Amino acid sequence: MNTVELDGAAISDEQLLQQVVAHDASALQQLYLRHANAVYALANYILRDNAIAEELTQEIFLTVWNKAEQYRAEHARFRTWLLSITRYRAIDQLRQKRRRIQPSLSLDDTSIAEEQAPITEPIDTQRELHLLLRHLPPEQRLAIELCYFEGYTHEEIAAYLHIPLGTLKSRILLGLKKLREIMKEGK
Amino acid sequence: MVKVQTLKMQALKMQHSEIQEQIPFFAIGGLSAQESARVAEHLAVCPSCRALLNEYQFVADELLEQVPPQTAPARVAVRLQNIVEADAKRSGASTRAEAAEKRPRFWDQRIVMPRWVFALGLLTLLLLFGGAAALAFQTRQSTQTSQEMLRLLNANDIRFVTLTSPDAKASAGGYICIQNDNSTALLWLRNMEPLNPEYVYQVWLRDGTTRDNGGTFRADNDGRAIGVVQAPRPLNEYQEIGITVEPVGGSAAPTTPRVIGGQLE
Repeated sequence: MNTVELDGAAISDEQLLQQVVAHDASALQQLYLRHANAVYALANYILRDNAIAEELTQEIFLTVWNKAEQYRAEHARFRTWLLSITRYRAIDQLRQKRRRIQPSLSLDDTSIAEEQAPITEPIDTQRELHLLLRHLPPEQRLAIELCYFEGYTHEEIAAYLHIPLGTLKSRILLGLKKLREIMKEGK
Repeated sequence: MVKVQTLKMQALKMQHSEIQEQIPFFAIGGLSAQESARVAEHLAVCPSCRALLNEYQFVADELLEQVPPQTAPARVAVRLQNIVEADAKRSGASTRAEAAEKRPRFWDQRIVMPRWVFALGLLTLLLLFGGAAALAFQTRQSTQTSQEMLRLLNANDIRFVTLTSPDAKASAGGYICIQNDNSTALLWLRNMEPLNPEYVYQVWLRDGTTRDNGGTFRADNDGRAIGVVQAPRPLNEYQEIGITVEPVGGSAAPTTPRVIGGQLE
């Protein structure tokens, strides 16, 4: 649990959030100091756009400010909740962007994919590798990236990669199982 | 009867093994709504699958945590601060000033000189201080000074100068953020020794032939001080910055050895 010593007492994220519910701006600032980098890094990793990631970071913390009462401590830690909504919002923006830029082209349109593939390169080969996914073989890493950080469905990814749906699922499953083992070893 | 029960058990086992294979996908949100509902229904009655889900949920959470680290730009904190404070005032809820009555803030420093404004939140200076990352700030003085600070933070050509102690064993240190042709700078210090009430820290700026008073300030009980300094001239016209301990009100010239300092050139 993320805590800080203030006036000799440890203040957890959840306690600060209770103060945010009462519209204590300084409590929000404390939460920002603790988690803004993680939110921004995740937003930028998904969106690959500094300016939009900045806007999203601001939006996420305004969500905390305006809807702190919606957080349920029994479901997840605050930071987990925060990063989850960051991922959802970022992927939502990615999908909107895809619709705006290529309304007639999508990964599930196999006829177009075959004619013009690759439509886009979903993975930026220049960007720094994910710290955890770098432990996986490239094909498993790509499958999980497209699913978890790009927001594509299994069918869309399989069509894009020109592999059977079962093969794609196996790659994701093998990758996740390996990550699970890594996490267990790391505990 | 026994045969029916056996068939039911077989069906449950089959469902269990199928669901187990879907749990990793469930954890990363990779199932359709219909598939997710089926898994959720099974999870409600299957402790072992719930345990497995916990393990994969941990993986999913770590995937979000372990993206390559980045520092949120300071201007995000400033914009957020402005929106939130305006909203807090509109709603009549506790303001930052009221919150200050409850506890000291990260950036809340007792800097006493008019040249200093409580600022704050710098942050991004980042990684070097172990992850602090936001700059929020609080205006106790002129709006003009605050705006100057905002302009500085949004500038592309700012640079950070490390401030260190001449005593290698001392842990005091920090940074000053400056921009060419700008007389406003941001200062962030840590591990400054607490001073008796009759003393303050004083900033000195030297260009080789002259020395300007950069203002006085105090650090908080944790040894931190964050603030804005407005020098008489652009900071890049100075060669050196130094900080000494002086009597309250400041001195005309340094009367004690330098606590920390750095080269501005």
